[in-house]
Amino acid sequence: MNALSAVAQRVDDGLNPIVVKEARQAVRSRFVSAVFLVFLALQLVVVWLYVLFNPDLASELSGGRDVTGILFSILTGSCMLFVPVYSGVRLAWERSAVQMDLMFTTTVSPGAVIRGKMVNAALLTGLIYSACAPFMTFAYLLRGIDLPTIFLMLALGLLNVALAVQFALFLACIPTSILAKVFLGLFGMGVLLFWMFSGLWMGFAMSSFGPFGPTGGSDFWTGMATLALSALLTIGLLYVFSVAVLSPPSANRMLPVRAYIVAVWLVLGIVSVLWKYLGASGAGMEPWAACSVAFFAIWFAVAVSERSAWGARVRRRIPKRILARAVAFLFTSGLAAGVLWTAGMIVLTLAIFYLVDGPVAGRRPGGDFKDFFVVSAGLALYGFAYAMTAAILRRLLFSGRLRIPHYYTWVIAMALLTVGTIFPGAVLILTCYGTGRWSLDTLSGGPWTLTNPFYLFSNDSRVEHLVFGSVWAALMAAASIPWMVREAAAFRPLASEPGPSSGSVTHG
Amino acid sequence: MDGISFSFPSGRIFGFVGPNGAGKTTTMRILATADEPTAGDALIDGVSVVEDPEKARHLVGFMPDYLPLHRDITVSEYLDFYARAYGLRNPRRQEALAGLEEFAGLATLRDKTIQSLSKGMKQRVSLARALVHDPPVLILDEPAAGLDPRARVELRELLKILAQQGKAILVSSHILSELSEIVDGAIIIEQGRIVRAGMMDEILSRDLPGRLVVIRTSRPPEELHKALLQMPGVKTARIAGRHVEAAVEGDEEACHALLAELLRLGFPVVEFTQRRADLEELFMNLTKGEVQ
Repeated sequence: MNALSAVAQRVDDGLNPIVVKEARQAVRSRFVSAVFLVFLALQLVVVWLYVLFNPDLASELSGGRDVTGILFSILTGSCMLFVPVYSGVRLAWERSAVQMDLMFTTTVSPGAVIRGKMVNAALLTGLIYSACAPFMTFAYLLRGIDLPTIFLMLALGLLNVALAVQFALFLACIPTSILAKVFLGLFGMGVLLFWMFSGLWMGFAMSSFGPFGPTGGSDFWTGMATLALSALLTIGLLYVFSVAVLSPPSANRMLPVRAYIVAVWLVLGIVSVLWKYLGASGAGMEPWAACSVAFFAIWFAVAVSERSAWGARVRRRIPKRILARAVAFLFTSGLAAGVLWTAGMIVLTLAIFYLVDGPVAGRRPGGDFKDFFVVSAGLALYGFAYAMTAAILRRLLFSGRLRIPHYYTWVIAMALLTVGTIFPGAVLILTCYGTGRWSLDTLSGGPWTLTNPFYLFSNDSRVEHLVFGSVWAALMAAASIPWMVREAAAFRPLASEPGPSSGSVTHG
Repeated sequence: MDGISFSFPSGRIFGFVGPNGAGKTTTMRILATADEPTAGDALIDGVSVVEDPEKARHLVGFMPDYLPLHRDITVSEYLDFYARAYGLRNPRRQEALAGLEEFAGLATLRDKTIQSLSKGMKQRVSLARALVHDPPVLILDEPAAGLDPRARVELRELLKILAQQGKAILVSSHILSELSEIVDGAIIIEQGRIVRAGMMDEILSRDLPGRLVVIRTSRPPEELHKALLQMPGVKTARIAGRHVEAAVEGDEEACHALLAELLRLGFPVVEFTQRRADLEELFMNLTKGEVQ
């Protein structure tokens, strides 16, 4: 064996098996071939029609820009529709409970599965991009657009596709019914469409004026960077979440998820501080604090959906020293741990914000700062209250014959939020409309709005909502303390290896 | 499943039998780490499938009752994927795949797509897939379902070879007469509970202690049948063509005494065969056919 074949063999051995399998299957797939043919035909027809109906193309300088815009739309639309659907449906089919693919009983790690699927999606996207390359070259030759603009547009499109693929893979991983996946998929598609149109708009802006042209000022680049960073961070979050879902239930699934969130929160916090003190704009830390609090307020619903017991696998790794154990508890899967970690992150965010960008740092305590602080704290309290109410309801009402698994607690929380936000107002309208006791002003305040956390943004009823949210959260905390303390107390290292319990099947 | 507990040793084939819906596939999927039990555990060579499924996967080869439908992958690519998925590196991977293709008789099919294969060939691919990482334990769920007679015989021979290689094999099947010919032990399950588990000889001597003898004389079988029913050691007797089958209480001494008595009575015995009670009789005797 010569050195070259030895290297080739080593590379071959190091390849992710999922990538090898998926690539082989994609090459043979009639569906993939059909999509490519349709994509090529569509581009050909569109470019041909454009040339046909623009006889002055040779004398105009906008031809390349227009054709690039059209091709970019086709490319982004095709990739965002085809690649995520292809990747997501395949994984969902392989994960189907009735016909689970046997690759999940092999030693391929959950991370390798997701990475393999992502790489394969990248290969498919690369193929589509390469099929578009001759048309883009043609557009460039028509003049009116430069190469950096084309490459930036393509990079932006690639980021959008990566986000859509990772979202599709996440949906495929979650253990829920097809109906729920379709519902979540539609919701996600709405968000992704917004993202896609933002990307398209930026692409068009770049193709019209160039990234370094009149629109290419700091605002444009800040928006572009924000969009790209948000996409990258969301891809990362969905990746760690997907890996967690695929990991064995006995593993500490939430450790990488929480570690990732803390890392991102910390890095963005440091960037915010640097931005505040070194940046020319003098912007404060509100964006970081607001995004963090809103994120963690929603995260309460995720935390209450975690299981409440640990197996030997987790308990074997619990530290003996109390301080280390307390830190480990916050990074271990579990309802109480998740809720405490989330609450801790909110408190830390608000404390850092208060210290670095608040009165301590010389800022006037009243006015905007106070409003921002109250709204943030209020949202966190409502998030906690809704999530804990859902957890308590599930324990009290849905743990017997009418059983709802713990991992669906977030659905109860979201249902409660929907009811609390819409129901009181709807009842008010239905009962009072036409009776002379109702006007639009009736909806703007009053006790029926108290369960709606979005009224915190209204100056008129902020205090009432803050008080209500505080009382409700305190009641839920009081009701939860006994079992949360029990759960925390049970977080102890394994004393000795347990033997097989009843129901064991032993091979000897 | 309801508090089931059993073990099966290396180098033996154990039949896992029960009515439809008894929980066989669920148990096997738990052993293969395809499903997680709501409570309890299963150990493969001391490795928990709940706590360490990743380790347990190295030890188990699972052949489900279906092969996931792959339209766009050939036999060799399919096996190559699983070899890679279990971390086999070249040249070991190539050797393992070549050996498996030869063992399962797949060498001529390696470039065919999985979808184009017959049921029997798919089962061979599935068995090869389960063996790709040379696991010490094999879990086979209905491996003979849908196979033609020749394929069944070949599968039986393959399983015997694997048991001789020291693998612990747990195999479920509804074709109990065929399973009887290869199993060393049995686990009988009904409504999620173990009805009997152990080596065949132990179970049979406990649950079917009597002997079954098949007798033919040159006289009409009705005469023999009548005479047998009047003998004290005979529990039941039935005419089966020219033969009479009699269930005898006791061991081989009782069979000898029965033959002596027939000869004493002047029956011209031309055939006297003792037949071992099999898994099918045991199963029918122990289960009620109830599902969960």
